Amino acid sequence: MNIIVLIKQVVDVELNIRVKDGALVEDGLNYVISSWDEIAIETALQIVESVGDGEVTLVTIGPDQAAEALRKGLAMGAHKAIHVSDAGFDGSDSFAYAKAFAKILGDRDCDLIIAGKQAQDTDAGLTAGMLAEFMDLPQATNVTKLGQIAADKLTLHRGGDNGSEVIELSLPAVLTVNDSLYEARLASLRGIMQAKKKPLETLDLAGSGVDAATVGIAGRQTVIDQLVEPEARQAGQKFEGDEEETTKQVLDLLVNEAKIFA
Amino acid sequence: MSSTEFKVDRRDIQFVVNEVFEAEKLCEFPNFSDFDMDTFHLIIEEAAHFAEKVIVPLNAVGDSEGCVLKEGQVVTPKGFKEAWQQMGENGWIGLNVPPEFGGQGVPELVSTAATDALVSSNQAFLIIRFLTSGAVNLIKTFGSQEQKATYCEKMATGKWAGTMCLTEPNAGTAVGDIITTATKEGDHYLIKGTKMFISSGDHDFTDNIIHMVLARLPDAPPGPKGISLFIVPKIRHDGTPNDVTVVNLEHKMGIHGSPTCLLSFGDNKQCHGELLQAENQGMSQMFQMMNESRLQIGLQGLAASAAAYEFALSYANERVQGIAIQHGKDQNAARSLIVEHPDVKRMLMSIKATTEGLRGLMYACGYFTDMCTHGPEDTREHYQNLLDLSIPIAKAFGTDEGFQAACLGIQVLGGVGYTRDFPLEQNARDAKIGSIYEGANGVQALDLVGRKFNMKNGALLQSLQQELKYFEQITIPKEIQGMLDEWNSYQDLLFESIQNLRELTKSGGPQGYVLYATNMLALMGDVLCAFYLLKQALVAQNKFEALEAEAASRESLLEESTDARFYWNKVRTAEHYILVLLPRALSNARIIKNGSFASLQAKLELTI
Ligand SMILES: Cc1cc2nc3c(=O)[nH]c(=O)nc-3n(C[C@H](O)[C@H](O)[C@H](O)COP(=O)(O)OP(=O)(O)OC[C@H]3O[C@@H](n4cnc5c(N)ncnc54)[C@H](O)[C@@H]3O)c2cc1C
Repeated sequence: MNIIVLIKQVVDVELNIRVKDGALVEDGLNYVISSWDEIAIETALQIVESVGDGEVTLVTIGPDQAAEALRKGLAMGAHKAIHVSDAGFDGSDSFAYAKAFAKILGDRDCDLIIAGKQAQDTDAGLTAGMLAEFMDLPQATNVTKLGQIAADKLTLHRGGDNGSEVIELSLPAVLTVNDSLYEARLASLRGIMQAKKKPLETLDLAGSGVDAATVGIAGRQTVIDQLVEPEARQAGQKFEGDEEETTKQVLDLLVNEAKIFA
Repeated sequence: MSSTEFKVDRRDIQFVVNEVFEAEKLCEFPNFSDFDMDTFHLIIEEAAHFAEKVIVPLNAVGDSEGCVLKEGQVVTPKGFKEAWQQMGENGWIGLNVPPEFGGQGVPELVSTAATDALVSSNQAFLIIRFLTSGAVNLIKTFGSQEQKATYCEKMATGKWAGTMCLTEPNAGTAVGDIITTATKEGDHYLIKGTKMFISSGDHDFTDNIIHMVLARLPDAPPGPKGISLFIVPKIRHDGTPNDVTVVNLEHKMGIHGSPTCLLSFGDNKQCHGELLQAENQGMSQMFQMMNESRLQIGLQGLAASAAAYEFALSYANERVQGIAIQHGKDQNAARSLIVEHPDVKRMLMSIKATTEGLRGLMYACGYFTDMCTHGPEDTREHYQNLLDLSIPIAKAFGTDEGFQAACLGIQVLGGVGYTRDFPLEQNARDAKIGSIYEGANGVQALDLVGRKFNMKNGALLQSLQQELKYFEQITIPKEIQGMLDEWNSYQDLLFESIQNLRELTKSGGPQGYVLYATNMLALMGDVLCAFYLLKQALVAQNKFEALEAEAASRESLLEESTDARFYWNKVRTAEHYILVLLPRALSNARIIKNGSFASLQAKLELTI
């Protein structure tokens, strides 16, 4: 089973993110693999490991430094990686990325395309869905559990609005994964050493075959109106001391102030 | 970051490894040709990631739960066993062990840095790793082919763990006085005796525990020359338990997550041991392994200081108390964060300078190890000299200063620092052991002035003198010149003090010579840490100037660029070390010069 995993390098949201004059302050930011994409890598590795054959290929569109994310994914165990890097992609939105991925992946032979259910920076969760549409592939989003894996189909659970659905999906297909599916493995030292020797293909816009007019600012369908920092949240209230006493206090506040039973 | 969540200081670690020591140059040596800068970077990054994700969460529970002895078996705190297994599977146990023995052969410099990240996350948890890698080292260096094949890979990957069994109730510092016996019986030896304070002497991490036991043959010469080293597995090769009993588990000040055991070997005369290499070689074998194990304990000191800095700085930026002095007596002025108070800034800076000075010293030892084993033939001896001279300093100065910094960290927090709600009191308790085990610090000082100063007719000191000339061949930026001049005067003071120490032999004999060995070691530790910080400051200043040349103004650069602030602070940190901490070297020099024998002459007695 050959699997392609779409990964995105995003700003580490654990750090203090600042916005100045309507733009993200780049200084001091740290970049990591979007956490759902790490789960996507884990899912792909688990499938390939359980089937016992096949390869996991990572694909990202991003600046030079996104190669770090690919190397880390390779260190986790993926077999090869494709880095599409070109200033022409700057300013792309989900739609443009989906178009680009459809072109880049179009000729590649694979049974499954997996991505995180959304990216940690924009939280849009659109790219993979649109990609499936552009490639005319079946898709399952927000996958929470995998069932049987066969050469031509996959059984899985996905989280829907009204509970969990069990789906049989014919392959090839596109999946997006939820973080309840697996815990992403940490890179091992051996993995790090091997990562260096694994193939990492770098493509620019021309090399990727993507039409320049469909990506970047020209290709985007959405407009960012403004970028602002969220308001600081008020600190929560802490209740300390005797358990019975504090339980009463909390209950009192819930009933009389928050009026949750009203 | 909140003040109870530890994060590894990746930026500083990467800076020292890649920008100051330029680890990439090590890749020119055949053994390291598989590595490159990106790989080093990723190794440190992922070691830090593993540390924060897997071992940091176990630090507090390790302390509060501790280890217990249940039906003769040690039970470790919840989660420890799984973390150990994961550490093994992910390669962090045997990272510097050569690939043919199950490790990854990472250069010592980078391995030291990765260990720094791991141990600052949880001192107690890392102790077993130190002992296991020590045991692997012994076996891979002195073992037979069969022993290497049986033990090394299993231990380097964490399937089995190791111990070092030296200490006995009547033989601590004086290891030569041990009385555990080994008697040959067929193809093995029968071991009999009691070993005390054995770290990880028993636990539930692994199926087998490989004890490295020092013992004496019946006809062995007395003292250190009559000691042999044995491999004593908890479970024999045929799967039957060997005759090793856990008699007791110590209750300690700190490192509660590390079980310290009283072990009895051969209660039923059935304890089988395998000789390592040859009889009566035990002490010299141990000596050859000492550099690595002492460096690791030095790292524990660095770890305590690094943790103290992170927690203290983070708390100082949250805690509001009092009014900053520049607002005078205006009671309506806004209350300040304690980080605004100059005395708190001074304390924080002292902890930072200690951490980064020690980091320079420890990583230098890692670098020397690489250079003396893999570097150009004609410089190997030079680096071996530097390593041998630096190790007792790294161990003793590292753990003494690390502990002081840990205590200063508590001081920054005030009352809460003294409570168990914050990790700093545990940090200090855990750190204290560093000055005691792996050769008490007083004994490290003896090793320095007794052995190392006099080895090869003083060649070690000559190598140091040569190394410290580093700045003579380099263009020094204006901002650094002042502190370099200041440091140079301490360099002279150091070599003068060595002469003064030697003078004490004339007036006080050998007793007089060793009396102020500890002061000598501290003086050297300070001069060396200042040296490594100066090297760092030099790199930082050049990089800062390059950034400044591109910036609108220094103010805007410092406001906008994290990198610029990092380099700027590095230069300030070096200055703080040289102008604020280093002057205590004057006091040590004076003590040596004064050469008082009052403590030798006093008839100390309890007068109650
Ligand atoms: C938590 C813990 C873990 C340990 N783990 C291990 C382990 O895994 N394996 C192991 O073998 N041992 C271990 N030890 C033992 C440790 O190495 C010894 O405690 C240490 O070597 C000191 O020996 P001692 O306690 O007998 O002190 P002593 O040797 O009695 O020393 C007491 C004091 O006298 C000083 N002193 C002694 N002799 C001299 C001298 N000749 N010149 C100057 N000063 C001297 C010492 O510096 C010290 O201040 C551990 C100890 C502890 C507490």
